[in-house]
Amino acid sequence: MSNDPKMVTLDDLQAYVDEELTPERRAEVETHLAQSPDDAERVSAYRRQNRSLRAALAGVGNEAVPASMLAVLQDRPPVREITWLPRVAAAFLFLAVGGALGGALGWGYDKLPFLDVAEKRFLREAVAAHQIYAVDRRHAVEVAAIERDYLQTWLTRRLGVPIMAPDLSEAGLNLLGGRLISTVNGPAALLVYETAEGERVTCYITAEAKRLAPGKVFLEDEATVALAWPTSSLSYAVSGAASRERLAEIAGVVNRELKQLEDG
Amino acid sequence: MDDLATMIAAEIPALRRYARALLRDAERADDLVQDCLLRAWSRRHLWRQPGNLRAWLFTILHNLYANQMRSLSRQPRFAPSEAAEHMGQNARQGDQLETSEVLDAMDNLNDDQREAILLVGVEGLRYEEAAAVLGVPVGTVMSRLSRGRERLRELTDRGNVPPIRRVK
Repeated sequence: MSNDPKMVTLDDLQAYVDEELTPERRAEVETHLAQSPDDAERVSAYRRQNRSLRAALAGVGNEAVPASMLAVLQDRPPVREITWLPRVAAAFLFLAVGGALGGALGWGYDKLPFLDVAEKRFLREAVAAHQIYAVDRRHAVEVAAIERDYLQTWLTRRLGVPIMAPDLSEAGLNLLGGRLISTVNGPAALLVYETAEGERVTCYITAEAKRLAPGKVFLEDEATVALAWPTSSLSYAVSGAASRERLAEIAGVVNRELKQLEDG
Repeated sequence: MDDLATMIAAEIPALRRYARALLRDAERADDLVQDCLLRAWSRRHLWRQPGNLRAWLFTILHNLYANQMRSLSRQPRFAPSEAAEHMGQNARQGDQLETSEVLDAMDNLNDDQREAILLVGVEGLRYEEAAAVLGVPVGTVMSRLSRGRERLRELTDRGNVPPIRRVK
């Protein structure tokens, strides 16, 4: 800004409109405006802008605040989410997913975590993929389990990270096959498993481990439960029409198998 | 709700208004506010009275928005096609804002200028508060206001708002 007191700058005009000037400077600017129709018009244009913007946006401020926002401030989750691992154990999950997992599973509605937008999106994708494909008796998968090696090579190539189809026979699940899923964030893999009774469980995998905080479960609706967690390089979710305990058991087997595959 | 929760809740309408004006998409704006509240609530121990709660919340919102814009800039953008305009469809689904010439004109400003104008002109933050929210000196806020408001004047007062809207 100029030291010449008579010199009124564009910044002065902003500060005049926004009432940020000292009373002395304000008086000087007013003197200037009385003599300069151009700048006087400028000032009224800025004020018109403020008024139009406030008017255009007034409706938003008057809308009812969504319950999900208030719920955050009450430590009450907007969706039914529960921790499936205590925090310490969750951090541990990255390193030791073996036998410790089952014992470490702690169900609690008390420590309710909130899912951020990226986590919700991931879980919704997982549940949607499950609901669309798992029910399809004939076309659930693109590549059947008989071509397991090809399936793994193909998904690995498309996702750009190693994708293994874990052996879940310990949880009573046989691999049916897999397919590629498109998402706005890139490709995802869906592995479909089946029990001897024909009940299906899916594993949904993306190459974005950082999208998830560890150890969260998400209950989309009464029909499908999804449980998600990050591995060292992947975001992983298992979904099925099963109890949370059953899903946690399956997740435990998945983790143990993945760990073995990594080590092997 | 405890006192802090009540105080934060009182700022939600302003946060939503700001997010909506920036994103012009009600759903995405509310997602952003939700993330902002999550972050603020989980870090509420970092906020000390007597601090400026509103400025603190706007700072969190601004940072989340800036991150989102950075990651979005790596994705392809789609502009509404002329065909959609001709078919009389709203090419921007989810845009629940009133059509307003001044908001359309705002879409032609850069984010820095839009944020400065919204924080100061609409939300009524002092220059110092806006500078803290945006992480820049007061002088920078003033020059963004000057440039942004002059550009808006060019666009609205002469009735030549370009038909193409920014797509984010």
